[in-house]
Amino acid sequence: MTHAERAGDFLRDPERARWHDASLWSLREKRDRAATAVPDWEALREAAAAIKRHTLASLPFYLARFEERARARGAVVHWARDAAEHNAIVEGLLREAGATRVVKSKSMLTEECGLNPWLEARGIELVDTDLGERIVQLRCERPSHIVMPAIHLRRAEIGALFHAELGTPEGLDDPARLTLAARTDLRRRFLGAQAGITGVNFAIAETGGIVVCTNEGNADLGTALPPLHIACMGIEKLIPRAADLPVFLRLLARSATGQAQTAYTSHLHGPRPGGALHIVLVDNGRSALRSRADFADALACIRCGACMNTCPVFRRSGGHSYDAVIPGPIGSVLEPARAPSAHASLPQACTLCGSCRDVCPVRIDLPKQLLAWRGELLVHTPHAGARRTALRAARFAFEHARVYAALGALARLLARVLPERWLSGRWNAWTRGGRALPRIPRRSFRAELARRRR
Amino acid sequence: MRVGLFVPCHVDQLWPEVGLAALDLLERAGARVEFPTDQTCCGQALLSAGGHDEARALARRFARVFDRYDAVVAPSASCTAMLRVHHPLLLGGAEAQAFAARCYELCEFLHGVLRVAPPTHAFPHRVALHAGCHALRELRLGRASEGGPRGEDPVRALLSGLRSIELVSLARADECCGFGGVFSLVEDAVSCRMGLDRLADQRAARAEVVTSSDPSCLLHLASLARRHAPELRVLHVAQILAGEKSA
Amino acid sequence: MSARDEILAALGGARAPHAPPPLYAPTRALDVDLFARFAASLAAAGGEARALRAGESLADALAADLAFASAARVWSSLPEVASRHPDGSPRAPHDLDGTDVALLRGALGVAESGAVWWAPRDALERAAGFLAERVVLVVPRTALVADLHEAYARIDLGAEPFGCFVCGPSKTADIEQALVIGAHGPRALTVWLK
Repeated sequence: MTHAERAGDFLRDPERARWHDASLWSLREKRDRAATAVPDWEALREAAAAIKRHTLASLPFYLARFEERARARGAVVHWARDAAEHNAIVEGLLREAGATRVVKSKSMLTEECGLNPWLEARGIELVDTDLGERIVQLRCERPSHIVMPAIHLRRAEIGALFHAELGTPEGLDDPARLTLAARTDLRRRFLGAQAGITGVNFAIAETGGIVVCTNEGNADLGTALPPLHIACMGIEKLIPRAADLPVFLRLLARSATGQAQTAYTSHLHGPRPGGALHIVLVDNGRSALRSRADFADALACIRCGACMNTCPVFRRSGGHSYDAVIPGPIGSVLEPARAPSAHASLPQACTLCGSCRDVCPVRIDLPKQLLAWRGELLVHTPHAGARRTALRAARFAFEHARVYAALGALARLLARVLPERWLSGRWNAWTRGGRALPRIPRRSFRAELARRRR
Repeated sequence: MRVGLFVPCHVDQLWPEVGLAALDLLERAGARVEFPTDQTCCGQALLSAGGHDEARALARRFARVFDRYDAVVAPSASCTAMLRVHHPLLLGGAEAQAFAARCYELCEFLHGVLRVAPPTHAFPHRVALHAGCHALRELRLGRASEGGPRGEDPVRALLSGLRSIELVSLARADECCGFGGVFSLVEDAVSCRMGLDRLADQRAARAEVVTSSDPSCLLHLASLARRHAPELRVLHVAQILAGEKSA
Repeated sequence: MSARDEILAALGGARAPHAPPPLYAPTRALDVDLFARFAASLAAAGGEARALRAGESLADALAADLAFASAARVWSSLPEVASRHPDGSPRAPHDLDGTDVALLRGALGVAESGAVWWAPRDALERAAGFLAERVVLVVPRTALVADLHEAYARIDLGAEPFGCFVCGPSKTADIEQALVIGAHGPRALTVWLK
């Protein structure tokens, strides 16, 4: 299935589509207000972009430095070439500790690696603790948004889920009471967990420390209680210095939700006394992406989700229409790199409006990359041969003004004489979604001009 | 100054009035305008469909056809963005860059280069100005609601001289209309939803006329309006500025 | 080849980097009332900032706070306020579940965001800060800074294994974006400036 087909399904419920759009638009507005309130916003974006590009250019150096300094602080550093290696490392650490009850806070990386099904298949109970992630975990689906995993769901749907799974009263859909029910259930799980897994927002090469940002405090409960903490991160999360952190922290939450800062910005330097900290550095396609000049820049992403909130297509098609771990504009750049043929339609799910480039806190030129992907993925799109042929034919016509003018005249003539019913059949994508045929003029501009000048 | 008028292929074939109004405005402003008949298409649709090589060939051809002019002016912000931003990327080199710098959107050229006085005839209508994404975020004519570089919006500047015109404010000042070139065909469901949302916003503002510097957005909106909002008139800004005859 | 060496090789090997970009120098508005700004930012984050009056002690101020006065279980990191452990002193982090109030010492406050830097001295204090229903952070009034750039310049990062910017109480908006205070951690946060 293509993105267009899944988007079409999403739009079959126009009321939900409208609600989804309005919901994400309000996040865009919150972000706008927060950005406007920071006088040096553009300078911050510029600085963040420069730091990220520098770090990515010197990534091996900073990774080696980070490893050395994290070790000096007592953390154990692991390296994983791919998802399977990452999952095996995590599983091994849990087994070694005899942990079968594990809590996890939000990590797009473990989502990317498929850690949950991997561990569940091996008898280890892994509970997602971010409320949105817990909701989608209970529904056995993937997050539809990287910051707001359950943004596609109405409160009544969550109420029904919690009634079935957590025993809340039937019909209860008050967000505060549903949250309380989840809190009560998850508090018990935090207290009973034998290990906590977290993602990483930033890793500081200079200090060997990691930074985790949450609003709920779930990463903190998950690391303050169980003795074993496993932090999983992509190798692109490095920044050189602690003094670079404020540049990113001032951008991150404002871009994501319009908050000045998340409720908790936790810095972990080594394990707590008596505990263990393991850091798993994961490549899983990142080094390959970095070697591609057109797309390497996408590794600068700090996962704020602002490109999703502003994207007019995402708002109207829903995160699941991307059928990918990371949806939206940044996902449409990252996912084809992982699996080109499976995600070939994603770069087409974009009007090239350019808003994502303007909101991106690290100034990734997403439209440019999406455009680059379109050319490269042509071989994987449905009817690739026909499209190639059409492109070549169009080129031929446009390279010969007389051919172009003659074909234009013929097409206009046909459009004027053929019955509208024929012209606006199901085959015509222009009229299929509810557009009328354009009004067809008798003469083209050039013909009219020639006539007047005669 | 010798001005080459570029009339984009979809305007040439589907909306000749826009080309005529643009020509009229440029001539009235005293420019020496020519329409080189060898011109065809800037290649934007091909590029957005993934045809980088095809678009590059057309970019090369375009530069050849328009090389002799001091300025290239088009009544389309989107096609101008193709000329100014994407042609130099496709072709590379200082020459392509210099040529790109001589390409202008019509209102940008009238207001910013020729510095014409805004027309003052009467246009007693409530008008919704559709801010095209490429005018805003590639040519930087105006400022996008999410921030970014700030530029002057020549369309607004020229329209505001008209007598009795009322520019309405929209709930979402610069939301994309959903045209997007090949997007309108590949993703027709989302494309139409986006266009209908724009029409709803414009109707809620009690607009009688929708206008823009981007004819492709307008063709998409007009096709939707014909089915869903027949009372809305869709006019290219050149038609309004050129006056009664064209509008 | 090990995974480490293979990844580093794929990235081109660990050569020394070019000079990193210069440290960001923020443009700051002058003569900002740091306390007012801090209080407004913290309020926006769902917390409350209060300043001790001249001559008032923290103990006095807390005594006037009915919720604190009636709290059964109190974890205090402050010498001037006693902890209340009716079930005996906690020995493990888990024992702090059920804490009504945690009184913690914050090192500095950030006016631009309302965040407080808190670096607990041990695992118990760390757990208390997240398990308690309500957190009270006490920050010297002279330790307010304009923004995070200034904050990081003052923090000794890594001096403790754990340090945290706390910006309001625990919260979530994961259900239809409705803001709910008290997701997993504290449901209320008060910052006292003394």
